[in-house]
Amino acid sequence: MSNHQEKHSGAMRIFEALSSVDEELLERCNEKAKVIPFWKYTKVMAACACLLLVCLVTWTGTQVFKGNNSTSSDCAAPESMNEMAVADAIAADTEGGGAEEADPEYDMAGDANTPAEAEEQSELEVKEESSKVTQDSATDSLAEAENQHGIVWDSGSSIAQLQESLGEEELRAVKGLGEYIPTVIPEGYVFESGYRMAEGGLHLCWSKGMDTIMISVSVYEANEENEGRIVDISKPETYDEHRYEIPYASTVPEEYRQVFQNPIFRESDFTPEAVSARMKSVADMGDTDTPRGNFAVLYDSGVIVSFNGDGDAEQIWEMFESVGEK
Amino acid sequence: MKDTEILDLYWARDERALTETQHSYGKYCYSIAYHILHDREDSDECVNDTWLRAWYAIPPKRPNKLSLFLGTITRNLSFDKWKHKNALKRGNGEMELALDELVECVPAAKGTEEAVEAAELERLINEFLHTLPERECNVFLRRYWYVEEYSEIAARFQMNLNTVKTSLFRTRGKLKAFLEQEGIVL
Repeated sequence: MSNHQEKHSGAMRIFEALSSVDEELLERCNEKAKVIPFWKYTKVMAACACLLLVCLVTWTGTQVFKGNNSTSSDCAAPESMNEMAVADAIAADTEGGGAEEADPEYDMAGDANTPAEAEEQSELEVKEESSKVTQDSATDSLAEAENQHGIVWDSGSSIAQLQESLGEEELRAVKGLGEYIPTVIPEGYVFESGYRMAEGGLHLCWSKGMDTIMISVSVYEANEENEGRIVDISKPETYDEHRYEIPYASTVPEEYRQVFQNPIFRESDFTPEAVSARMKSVADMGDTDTPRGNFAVLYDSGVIVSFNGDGDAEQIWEMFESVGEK
Repeated sequence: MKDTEILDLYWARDERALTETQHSYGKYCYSIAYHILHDREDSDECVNDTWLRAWYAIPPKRPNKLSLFLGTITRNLSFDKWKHKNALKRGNGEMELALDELVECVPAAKGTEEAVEAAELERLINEFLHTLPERECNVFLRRYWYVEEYSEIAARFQMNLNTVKTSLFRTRGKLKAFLEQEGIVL
């Protein structure tokens, strides 16, 4: 018997031996993945941030009450995301070190004898510190989400490759890609975060309450997987979400799934109807009823812009219409 | 109809057991057979044989999980049929690909040791599977128990296609290392 035949025979023995695998393992592998969409994950994070905020406010209020020497503005609820981040960082710091060991600079009860300038300085330091903490934890959470749910951006980059946190204007100034960031963002959405990936792609996120819009811009890689995702616009059955019921794994024919899950529309094929086909409102408990969806547009220049998030189809179309506008 | 009720029919030797089994598990068993055989007629035949085997096995058996009991019979019958059909030629189906992949798990023979007994191999493979993280184990079983294609597995677990391939590649390597460590000869 040749070596290959022996090995083949060994493979068949392994295959046969698998017939006696424990029932619990077999039963477990019959379960389908419980997928938490990425935008929901961010909502969970937002909910945690809110919870921390409530804890902070409660804790601060207690300290104010105990100290009896602070003004009412000390425990005012933060109004901006930055202030919330400061609050989160302080709360995290308090949890980690305990109230008694907390750095005096972070003492929200205040000190009547502390000069105002010193207080401002300490606030700035706290903001810088908290900004780092928030970014680090966001990156960790994103990496975790990626691992758990197999999230992959169009450039093929992983979250671990996130390199540089940049502001919206800085990202728009990136030559070759920045001009593909839409200039019109649906009303009410606020820029939340942006990154330039190690391999050069850009990633931006805007949010409006529980809704988010995530855009990534990168140079298209014409590999087998990406090519398989390009939409044949004459076949709406391969990308139109309205034709199928959730769970898609059960309703979408197997041969359409690669396109269906992450479709790429060529610039010439991209129309309002295409956007409409990809934006669908889903009645999920605890979620908003804003339509949500994902797709990417491959521009003739070889740049690909991916969208993942919430919004009306019309708004999202207008947003993409503004790509390239100054 | 619940499993317990179907099993009661078997135990009462009531032939409705077969129609109820077909109704509840026909598609499931057909899917297992078709993934291995890629032939409608052969798959139907294996499924019908499964009902017959079950009819003779219950009683005395009373499976805890009827679906897995029937699925295992279907898988074994389908594999036997596949071996018979492919004795003289190499096919191009998913089964052939899956076996080619499993070749990577076969430990290198070092001497003239006796091949491991089937029961021992089954025990070791079970032990190995229990050491794997849940997702990795699930992917491995979908591929080599159900002989599903990568794309099906990716869709089921909402994974990227390449992640599935990578996961399987790593698990095969681990299995080979595990069997070698146990001094197994196949």
